[in-house]
Amino acid sequence: MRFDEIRWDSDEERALFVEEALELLGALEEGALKIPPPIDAMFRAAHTLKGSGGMLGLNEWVERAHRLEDAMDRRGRPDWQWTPELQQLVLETVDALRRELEGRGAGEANPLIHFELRWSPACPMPGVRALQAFNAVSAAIPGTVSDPPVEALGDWHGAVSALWVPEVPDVVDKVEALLAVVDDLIEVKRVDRLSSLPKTPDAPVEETQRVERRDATLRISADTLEAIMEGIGELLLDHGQLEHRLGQSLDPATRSIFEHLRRRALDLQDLTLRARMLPLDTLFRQYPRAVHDIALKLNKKIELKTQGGDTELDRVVMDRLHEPLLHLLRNACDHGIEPPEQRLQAGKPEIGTLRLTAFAAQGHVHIQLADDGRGINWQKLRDKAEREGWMTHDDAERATEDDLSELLFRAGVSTADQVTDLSGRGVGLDVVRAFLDEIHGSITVESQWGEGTTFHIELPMTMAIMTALIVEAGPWTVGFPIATVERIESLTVAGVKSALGHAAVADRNAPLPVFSLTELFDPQEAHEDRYLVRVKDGRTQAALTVDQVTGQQEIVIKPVQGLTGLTPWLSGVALLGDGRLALIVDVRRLVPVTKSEQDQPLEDDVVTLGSNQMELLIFLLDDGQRYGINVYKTREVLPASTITRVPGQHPWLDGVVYVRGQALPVINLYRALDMASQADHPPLLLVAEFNQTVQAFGVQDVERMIRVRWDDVETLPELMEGRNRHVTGLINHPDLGTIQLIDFEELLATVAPPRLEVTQTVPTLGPHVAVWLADDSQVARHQVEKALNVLGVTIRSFRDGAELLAAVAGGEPLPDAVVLDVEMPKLDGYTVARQLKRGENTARIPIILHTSLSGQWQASRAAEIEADAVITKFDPELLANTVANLVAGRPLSTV
Amino acid sequence: MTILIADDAAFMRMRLKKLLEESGYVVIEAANGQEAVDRYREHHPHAVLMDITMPEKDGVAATREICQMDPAARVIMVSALGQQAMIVAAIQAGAKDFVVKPYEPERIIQALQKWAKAQ
Repeated sequence: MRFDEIRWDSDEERALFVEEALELLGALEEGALKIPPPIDAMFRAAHTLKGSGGMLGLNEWVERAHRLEDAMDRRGRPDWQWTPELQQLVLETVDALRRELEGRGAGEANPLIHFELRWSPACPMPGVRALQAFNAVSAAIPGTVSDPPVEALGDWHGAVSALWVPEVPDVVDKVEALLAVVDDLIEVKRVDRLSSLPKTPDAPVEETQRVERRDATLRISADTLEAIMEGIGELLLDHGQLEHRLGQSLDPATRSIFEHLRRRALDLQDLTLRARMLPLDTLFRQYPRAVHDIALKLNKKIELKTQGGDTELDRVVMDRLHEPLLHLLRNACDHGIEPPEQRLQAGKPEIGTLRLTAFAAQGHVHIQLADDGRGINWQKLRDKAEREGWMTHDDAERATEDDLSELLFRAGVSTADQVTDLSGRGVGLDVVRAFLDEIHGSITVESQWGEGTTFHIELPMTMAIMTALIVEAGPWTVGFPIATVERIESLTVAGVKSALGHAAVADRNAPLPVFSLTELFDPQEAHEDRYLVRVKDGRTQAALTVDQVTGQQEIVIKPVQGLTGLTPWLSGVALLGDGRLALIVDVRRLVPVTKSEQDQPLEDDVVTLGSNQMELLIFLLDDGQRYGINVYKTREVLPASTITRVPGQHPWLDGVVYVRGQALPVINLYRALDMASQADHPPLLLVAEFNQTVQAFGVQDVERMIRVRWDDVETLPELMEGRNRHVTGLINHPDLGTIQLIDFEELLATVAPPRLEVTQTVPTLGPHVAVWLADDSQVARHQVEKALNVLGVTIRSFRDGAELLAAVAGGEPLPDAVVLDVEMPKLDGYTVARQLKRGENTARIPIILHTSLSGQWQASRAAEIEADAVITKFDPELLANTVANLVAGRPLSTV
Repeated sequence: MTILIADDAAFMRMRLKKLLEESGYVVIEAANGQEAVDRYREHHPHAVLMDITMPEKDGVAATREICQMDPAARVIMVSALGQQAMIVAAIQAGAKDFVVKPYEPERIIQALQKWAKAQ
């Protein structure tokens, strides 16, 4: 019989078997990798495995376990020896038995019910009583767990023990009945889950009791923790909003309750974060086996010693640490440790040693991986750097080991001479560094040629909590991770000078470039910089000037979903003590790339042009539908402020709001979309910039940002287009359901009709000139057609890029010019432009990208686009002139 | 009901025997662990009162053998304070309960009665 054929009496029975078997297999595996192996214990484990497998009639299982038991049975006799073959047999057996169990464990076991057992003070040996209690209950309800664990009961003398009992019908009655035979038991109490939360340190707890209860644990799924975390975050945001709304009207008593509420929520957040911490052993445990397998493949003898596995780390960080760590281990086995014969020749022990050490210091977790292998040949690296042209001869000769070690983390550099099966494959330390970058970690290397190499990894203990320096820059409040802040000084004493045409300040080695933080965000914003903050993250170094330095604060970073594409430097936002939101900055991605770094561009996850993707900000009105707007069109989302009504306007216009000194028109989407509830005071204002104007829309809520492919955008059925002109496309999102893309340009055109007539004189081209136009907005098509009519050309309009490309592919006479909207369903304008420019017959056709998106990014990226011109909507003269000039092959003066 | 008393101290056996016989039990004696195992095999008593420290085979080992032979055996350990680890081992080996020396006579009787009821 095989494991999956067994008929179980109960889930508990099966869970118990799986749990126990896995434990025994773990003991066998761990033992086999120890030097010397604990043979007696391993023999017992094999024996037990055979026994329990036999009970279930698992023939193959028993056979394998039996072979193992046999092989170890003669242990202790003079002719018996622990051989590599035997070790392999153990490991293979473990693998085989695990495979049999694999994926067939009981999965998430039923929740365990917590019972507290209070023993009489007169009880002579409470450990024995607790064991009796455990035996009595577990005999009837398998899967019961004792706390303290059974092995520890021999010298346990506490007053309260606990049992965790799987949920069965009438569990409380059953447990009480089962415990009736146990003497000295004063009380059996079922404990509520909530009360098992760790007590805060200041709560008076009797020392003895705390020790007893130390190991009381409860399994909570990671998702639940995340949800709790999220919930608390929401709570804090709500609190912030409420406080903002009530503002000064609060009396001191209410205010203090408010404050208390906030502090409790922060405490809870803190507790939850701590609950996410796991000992590194969770990760380390699997490596001895991995190293053994790698060594075997390489015909080397390597032992991994781990230390400090009890150091705790955020689970989120740990999950992402595994890959880089495994890579380093492979590297060390492969490139570091020499083959046995070489080691013996070098006077080293035959067995190579890897030491994986972890410790915590100053809010960081340090992990070191040291090998006693051949080390890095710095001279060879110097030669290679010169040969490959990474350094000049002089630089290479002068380079310190630190400088050279940086080369190791570059793409395409390997410490080995040849690519090997294990860690070669062209993937090097650059990938490790990239991984660590993501979790805000760093890595350095030290090595002594002939003696070994040590990698040193430094990680934040948690990705979610950190100390930040809070500064003010223009209208923004910004936080820097304190670890990246080197020095703060007053701008007047810093001595900023101009070096090579750029502001710089003297630093230890070289002048440090100086940037105004406000200007990095937006050159338009006013600021009055008074302080200079020197920041350093990895090798990125800069001096940033800011208006004000507010101070240090412990913050909890809340990631902003989807926003990082637009602003890669934004690690997240944090709610400050005073209720404001601070932008938390990733220095490495914020500081403009300086010359020395240009050869190492940062991976940037901005939606690349031509990838046919966009980012959508999802918002809600109050009809339960989801609406989307291209993130590039949005400027910011603000709590709604007072709208000043302006008489005599279009009915969709609510009035104007003042945002940072600028008066913006507010368009009422509810009214524009014919909604019954024309909400008067939507709580949020979405500020959007397109068609060269800035306007605000009141919305109910802003949900999140998502990245979508234009392919996934459906055009509206033609039948509906006439009736509902406000929607240009639909997306069926797997999580969010249907999202409607509002035709904002159409709304704007209705409220403030653009000037469509071309008044300037433009050359007439004549009807033999064909101009094709693709735009998903009916209104926009109409506008463009009207503008181009002046040229006397023949215009053909398409509802999206795919239609246009289909016409091209259909072998029809090709147009003389193409005007493409950027945002279109199925294929965006960039993608269509790219395809046309790559087509053999279409490469020469002039392409004009016609976009409603404005803002800096657009201009800076226009160059990358293969289009012949980029025009921001809507300027009919410019459009007509550009088409005319491009068709005539004249140089463009206006663009 | 037949009770097996295993204790290397003859005085202790005598005291216990007297106590039990007064309460109507039939008593068998063993002076060490091995004897206890042998007596158990012969008589299958209703319960065993087992001392821990005994020559030749201690009470824990004897308990283990008895419980392997008869998983339903009702073995009650009789021990001095401070032997918690040993009793834990005995219970893991299958002993049902324990009584601490020096004991009140009722405790022994109570324990026997309790386990007589628990089938």
